[in-house]
Amino acid sequence: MVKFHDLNIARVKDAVAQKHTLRIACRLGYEVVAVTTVLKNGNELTAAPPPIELQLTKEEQQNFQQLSRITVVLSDKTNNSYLGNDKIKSYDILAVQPTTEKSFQVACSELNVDLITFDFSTWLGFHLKHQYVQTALRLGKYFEFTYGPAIRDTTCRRYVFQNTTDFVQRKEGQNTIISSGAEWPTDLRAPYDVANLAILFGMKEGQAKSSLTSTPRALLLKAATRRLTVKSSITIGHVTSIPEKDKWKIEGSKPPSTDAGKRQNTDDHDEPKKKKSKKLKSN
Amino acid sequence: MEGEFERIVLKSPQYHYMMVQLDLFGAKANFDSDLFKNLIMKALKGLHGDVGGSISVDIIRFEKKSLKSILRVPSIGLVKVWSALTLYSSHNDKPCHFKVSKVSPHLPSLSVNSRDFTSELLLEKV
Repeated sequence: MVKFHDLNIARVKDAVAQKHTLRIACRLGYEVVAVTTVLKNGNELTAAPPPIELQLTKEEQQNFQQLSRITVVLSDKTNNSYLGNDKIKSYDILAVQPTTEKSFQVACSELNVDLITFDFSTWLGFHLKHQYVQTALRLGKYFEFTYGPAIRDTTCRRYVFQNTTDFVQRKEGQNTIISSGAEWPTDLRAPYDVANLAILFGMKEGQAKSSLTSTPRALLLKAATRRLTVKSSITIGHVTSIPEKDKWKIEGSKPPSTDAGKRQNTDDHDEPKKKKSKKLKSN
Repeated sequence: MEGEFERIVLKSPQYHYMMVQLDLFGAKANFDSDLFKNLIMKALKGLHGDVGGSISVDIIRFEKKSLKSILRVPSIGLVKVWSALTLYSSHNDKPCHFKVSKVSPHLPSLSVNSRDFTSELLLEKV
């Protein structure tokens, strides 16, 4: 069955409001949800917080999945070498929000990120060059629209529509996901309502629905390859994490126990010494 | 009666029916169907302007207690009406939320939902 994703629920200091938002997301029909921590210049980078405990029924608990996401706000001056950091790897999704044209270019071409977000509630300040967007799509990156500002503020609505329609016109919504950016439970809307909004942004009906279902699922798989694999080909895991059915693969190559190893070493030492003395005598 | 039947083929529906509930997040307000219709028109004009305001939305049923209603919308205007209701977020400076639970081109299908077996047939007539 198709799962609805909302990959941007803002992390708020008020724990009660946060729990309420997540519970409402579950009841509206979202099955995969990501809680976002925003990292701006000057803020401390912390490892991913644990998933928030919610009081849900058993059925809801089985289907509802909470992930963690970090959005790094980029500007021209930021040094991006820390994006391979262990603390950042502890988050399930890595998103980047460029604020200038240069940071947008860097985000599209060089940085190893999953998702590129924008603050669509005001004029972006730079044009989204077709060339950079094409590079990002070729490298398998995803773009995100948030509809939260359109609900919160009627003045922001105009900018949200302007920016999203502008973007969709170029590539018709390929590799784009839509999420709420919800700070309060009142910012959330049901999945089919959001799919209808996506039609207003300029997407076709099929694409509108897939921007909530199959595209975010593909994004999560890409995020997993970034975190867990080396060059998207090799995964390294601990021996204890191998499932029962695969354990035969490592049993053949068990390391020898410590006592047997020591005895072997002393034997090796004696033999060469004897050989040397024999040679001298014969000469 | 043998062999007598009439086949009606519906290619593109003329109207869509929506089951909508207004959620005021606990705030109390006295609504009647006229006020509800005013609200819908306000939402349409707010998002789509005069073009939105020209779409004729009819309230078929309205329940005062739970603020649930059944609306009839011309199919050409469905996307506009639905998006206007989705984005309407405050009424008299209080937060509100239009919950669209069912949308269908056929009115009888609004009464039963195969996923949720509690039927909502008992709405009062306006």
